[in-house]
Amino acid sequence: MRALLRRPTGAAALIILLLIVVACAAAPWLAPYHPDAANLNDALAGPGAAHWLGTDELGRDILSRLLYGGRPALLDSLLVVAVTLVIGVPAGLLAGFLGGWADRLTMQLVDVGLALPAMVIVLVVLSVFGGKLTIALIALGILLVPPLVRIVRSAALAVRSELYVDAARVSGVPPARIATRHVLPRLRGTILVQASIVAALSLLFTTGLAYLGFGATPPDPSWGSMTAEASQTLAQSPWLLIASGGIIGLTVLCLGLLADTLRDLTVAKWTGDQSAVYIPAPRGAAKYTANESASVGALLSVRGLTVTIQQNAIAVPVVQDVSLDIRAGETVGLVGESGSGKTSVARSVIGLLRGGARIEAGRIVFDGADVTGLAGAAARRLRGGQIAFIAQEPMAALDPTCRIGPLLAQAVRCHQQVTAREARQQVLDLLRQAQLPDPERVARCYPHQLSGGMAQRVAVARALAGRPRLLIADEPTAALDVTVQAEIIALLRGLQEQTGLAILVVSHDWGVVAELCHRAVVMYAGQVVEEAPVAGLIGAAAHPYTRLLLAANPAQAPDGATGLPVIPGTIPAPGEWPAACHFSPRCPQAADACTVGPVPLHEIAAARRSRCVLSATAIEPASQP
Amino acid sequence: MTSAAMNGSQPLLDVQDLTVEYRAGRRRVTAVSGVSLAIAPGETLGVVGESGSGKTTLGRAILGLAPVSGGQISYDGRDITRLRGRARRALAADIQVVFQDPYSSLNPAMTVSATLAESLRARGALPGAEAAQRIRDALEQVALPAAAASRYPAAFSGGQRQRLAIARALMPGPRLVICDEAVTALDVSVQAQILNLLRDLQQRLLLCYLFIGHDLDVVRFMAHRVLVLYRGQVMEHGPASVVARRPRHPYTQALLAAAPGSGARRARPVAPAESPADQPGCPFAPRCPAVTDICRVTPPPLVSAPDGGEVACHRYPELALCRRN
Repeated sequence: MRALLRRPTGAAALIILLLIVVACAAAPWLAPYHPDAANLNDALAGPGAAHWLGTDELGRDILSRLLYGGRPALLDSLLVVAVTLVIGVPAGLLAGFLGGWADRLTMQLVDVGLALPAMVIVLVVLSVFGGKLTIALIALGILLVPPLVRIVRSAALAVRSELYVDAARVSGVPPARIATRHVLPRLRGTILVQASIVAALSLLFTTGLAYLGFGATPPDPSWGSMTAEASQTLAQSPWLLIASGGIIGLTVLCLGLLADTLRDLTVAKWTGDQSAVYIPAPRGAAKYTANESASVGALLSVRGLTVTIQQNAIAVPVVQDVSLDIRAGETVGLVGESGSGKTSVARSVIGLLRGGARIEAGRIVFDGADVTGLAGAAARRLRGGQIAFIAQEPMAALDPTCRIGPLLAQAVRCHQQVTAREARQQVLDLLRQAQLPDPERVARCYPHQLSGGMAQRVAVARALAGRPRLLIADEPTAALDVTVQAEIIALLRGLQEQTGLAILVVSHDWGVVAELCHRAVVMYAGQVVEEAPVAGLIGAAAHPYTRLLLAANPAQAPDGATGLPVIPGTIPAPGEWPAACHFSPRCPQAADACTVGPVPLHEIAAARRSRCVLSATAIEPASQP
Repeated sequence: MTSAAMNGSQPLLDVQDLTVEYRAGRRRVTAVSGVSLAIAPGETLGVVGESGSGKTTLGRAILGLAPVSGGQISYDGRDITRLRGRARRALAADIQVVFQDPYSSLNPAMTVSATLAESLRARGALPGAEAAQRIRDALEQVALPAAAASRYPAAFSGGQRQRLAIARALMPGPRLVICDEAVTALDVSVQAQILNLLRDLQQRLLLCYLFIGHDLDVVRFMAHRVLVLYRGQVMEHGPASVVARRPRHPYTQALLAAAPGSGARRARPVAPAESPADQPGCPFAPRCPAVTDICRVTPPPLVSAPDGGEVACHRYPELALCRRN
């Protein structure tokens, strides 16, 4: 409730709705006139001191009639909503959750129900039951059930396949309880929104009925009959329709806004993200430190890169002072666990930082040109052109509605002025380059017709479309089977030999890094902790974190080992990093010197750097290769 | 499978000739085909395979979450293949699961204590104080603070969520826990913590694990014996150190050679993995480097191997001979 009041639209909608409901309920005390008190002298008066909202053609006070007329209107909608929910929610839940024959039967009935003309049926019911509005409203409630069933069913279907529903089954929870404890709460938001739509529909429906002469018997006021009367005097006094229609519109609008806000709030509680507001990264705000010069001969040079995100209006670093170089024809592995900031570094390079992250300081130099925080057309020319990107999930990176051929042709024509025929030819060449068997057939396929390995090859082919000089691969093999992984690694190595491509591989998998990379840059909690040629790193890491991370790999465990060496604790979240060595709270070798202040990256040997006060002594000579 | 590794004791879980078929539109897809396995009390059986090998379906069939179309599953000497309703739910006290995805395996709308309390149901109603004590104990077992009980899953990291999933599995005091890719989604250092936790819990609580995974190294560390699946069929099984170090079947050899960081990737069978699934002979024949004519026609039987377990390969005797010389 308190959370609701913090959201301005939700709070406003709630307050207005409450005012309307209370005012209508208290009509006998609040209304300045009797609703039926006619005064023909005052007929069709506009809003004024005596009649705040004016009078109708019989001179009755509009405000009083709106207040009295609200009661039947609101109670009628409440009845319709109740009938629809009581039938629709259990039916949709059963159909979606049980599936099988229950689902088929329900959906057949729903299809029949959707084909029925609601207004006609309600009129028939009214004429059969001698104008009894309550029965007509129940019929209306039933007629609004089918769309609700469809929506609840599809939402329940999605929740049913969640693993926690399986886990509940395994825990011996009976199906009825699973439906009410695990599935129904997840549908709350959907049901709230649907209930508000049903309420709005029934308000409009009763208005329509009143217009046709059903509903409140004159002279009793109701919002519907007032609208009907107002429409008859539309020519003389348009104001009447604004007053009576306005209250209906306002109520419907508030219902919708309130339901939307309530849905957002129920979801926010589970996601733990109260401030799921997208903060666009401000452009050109980065402060560059000029004293860091890009190294000569490097294709890509990152200097002093610091990336921050906004947390409760405070800029919290997720990447801190990262520098790295990649030469043409070189493969560099950016290694780290989740939360190390490795993906943010890679995304900074192509200008695709997400979730409000921004480059706070540092420079990114590509081929001698400063490309830090590049935006707009210049960034687009660079992305996919000179610098290409492959994502982790090959399937998710391909548009499922587009065949491979046109998809790649589009990429080709983004970067080159070629005819459609030339583009097609180039697409086949690209697919061949990515070593896909039978390129003609693959070009005609949709992504879902490809295996995971083939999809990743297509992603590689697309990356090659702009003839890139640098390829950034974010966990390129994490989603693939080992045998397919080996194929993709072989493909990337082959491409590099042919084209002299530079590759930046972002990975948490030491095996992939060892196999593919010349050099590795290890990140921990936003910082580079170690940088070394891969061959020298695997056997003799200098930084304690790298060593422990390598040892934690079960591949290193001898047969019959009873436990793996572990790093105690967890990687600290951004904002909780120690000022001194970020790893010191978890480091078994931490000494007093480690907690004094920030540790710089030491040069410990040729092309080797380590951010550890002990690293000068940490390399054990015995394990040097 | 009547395994020598059982030491004569009766297996806790005994699966004979299990077949699971799914209906995909009009077609029937066989996910698991004639798989037999047994797990002795306190033992871990590893199941290795790539995506589509049927390893997850195998676990789901044992949990009663997948339709069994042939064969028999016995738990503690009792046939549980087609148990339904109340009788199946009562088994929840004995057979539990830890799923791969720590994000979708916990209900985001329920607090930790509600989730944990729910898995106690199979043991019958408990007084509130006792249930609360059990929840505290379970959280302590997986090294989480007692304060975690009142929070929602969203407040935890991936590794902590997997600890919660393990705590939920332990609540009713099971004897068999099926770990379906339980550490796949985790970082290496977190993975090591969870693997150690699982090993430690096994020793303390005398648990049985069916440990399903795709990473041969992880499964070797966890399991006493390993079963290798390909397209729903058993390729080989045997002691973990044999299967993971000196595999006998060409498919397992290919898996081992393809593992990144295994040094030189020699002799990789890189035939594309697509071929009709319902071909008559060995399912691995289209990709096998040692394939001969008989492999494409006759399915190879499982024959016992001298270094333990069984191998389903027509060419195993010759290949073994070559290797010895």
